[in-house]
Amino acid sequence: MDENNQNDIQISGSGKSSGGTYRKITISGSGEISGDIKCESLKISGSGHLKGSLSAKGAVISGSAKIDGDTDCEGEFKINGSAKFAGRVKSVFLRIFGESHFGDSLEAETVSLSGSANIAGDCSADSFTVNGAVNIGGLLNADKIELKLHPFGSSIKSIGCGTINVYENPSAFLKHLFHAISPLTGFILKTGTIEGDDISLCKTQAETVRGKNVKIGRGCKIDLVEYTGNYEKAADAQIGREMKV
Amino acid sequence: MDSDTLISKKELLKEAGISYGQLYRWKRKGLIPDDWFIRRSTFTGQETFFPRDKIIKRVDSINNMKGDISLDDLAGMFSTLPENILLPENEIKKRGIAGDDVCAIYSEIHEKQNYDFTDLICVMVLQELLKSGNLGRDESICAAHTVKSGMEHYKDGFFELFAVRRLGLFTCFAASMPCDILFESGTHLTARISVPEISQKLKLKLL
Repeated sequence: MDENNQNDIQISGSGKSSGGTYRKITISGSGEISGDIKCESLKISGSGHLKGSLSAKGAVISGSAKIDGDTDCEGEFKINGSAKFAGRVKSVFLRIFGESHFGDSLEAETVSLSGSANIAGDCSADSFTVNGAVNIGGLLNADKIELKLHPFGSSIKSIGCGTINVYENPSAFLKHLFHAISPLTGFILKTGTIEGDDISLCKTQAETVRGKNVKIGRGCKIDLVEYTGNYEKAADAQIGREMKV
Repeated sequence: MDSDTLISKKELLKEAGISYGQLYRWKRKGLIPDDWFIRRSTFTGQETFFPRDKIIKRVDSINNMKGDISLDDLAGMFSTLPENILLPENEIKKRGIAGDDVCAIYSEIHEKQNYDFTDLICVMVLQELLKSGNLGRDESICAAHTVKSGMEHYKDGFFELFAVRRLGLFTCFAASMPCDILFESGTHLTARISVPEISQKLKLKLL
């Protein structure tokens, strides 16, 4: 990699380029970059395929992007459309409107997802917000978790946090549609264990919920609840065992 | 392993008076190594356990220090990688890293105005060896040299120093950790120093 190379890459239409260090990378149309790249800014409008790793100060993707290597972003990474990350992703801010797939882990200070996201590994953030649906194969570890979930069924293997709030997304149209096609399960989130200081749930199925202040809202089914502070539960919540520890 | 050596997450929170949020934040910042989280099944289902002594010590040090420095700096402290630091000789005495005599001996081998992280590690090793009384002055210097080369060779700083004596002959060597070494009978292990431990001690003094 030539550290002194301060050139830009611009692909308009369809083109290919190789890895290296650049200032600005702009792909309008369809572009493919082989090799690892390091740049100040990456902008993809259309479709882009990065076959190596990406290290950038900031990145915006409008359209679709696929990154085969690890991604490291020192600033904001913004995706409007769809993105597929095969490697680990590390960013300060990550905002996604659309669909995203993370083949490994995700680490950021602030994560804001609107749409659907799949994360195969662990996810850690100071603040983690979802508006839509999310599937996480590992641990979701965050200070503040806000999940406004569609009734499509989100799942998270385990959650560790300061605060978590789970709401149902108040999109009436989707709700009716969902009830029409699958009236069987009413859960918006399925998870193994939730541990946190302040926990507020609705329509959640979990094996274990451990926390200080726990509020189990309507439509929940929890096998075991352990709390140390306040405890509230909705009338229709199904709780296997509950105990103050 | 039994309940003496392990502590469950629930017990830890109660005993140390910390919250889930804090524990997960420390895990996220790398203040608590991932391999300390041990998953076990119990009669109440899956639970997480920690090595009792290590976690309690770690939580204490985080609690004692977190007011003064940021969590990210703390994470750097608990890692074994050397940081960018240059200390003048008088600071070494002031911070209790090593005494005058040890500094004098070290400056005989390396003429220094300012000590970087590697130098400081060597000075601390020298200090420990001389204090122990098991090694002579020249032998200790030889050991400090070995540590210096070790710091260049093992980039992550994860190695141990061994000093041995057999029939009055002295030698020393470094080995990456963890290692299990068997000596010929009649060989005396005069000193064994773990560099990550020294570096941890040093970082505490640098705060």
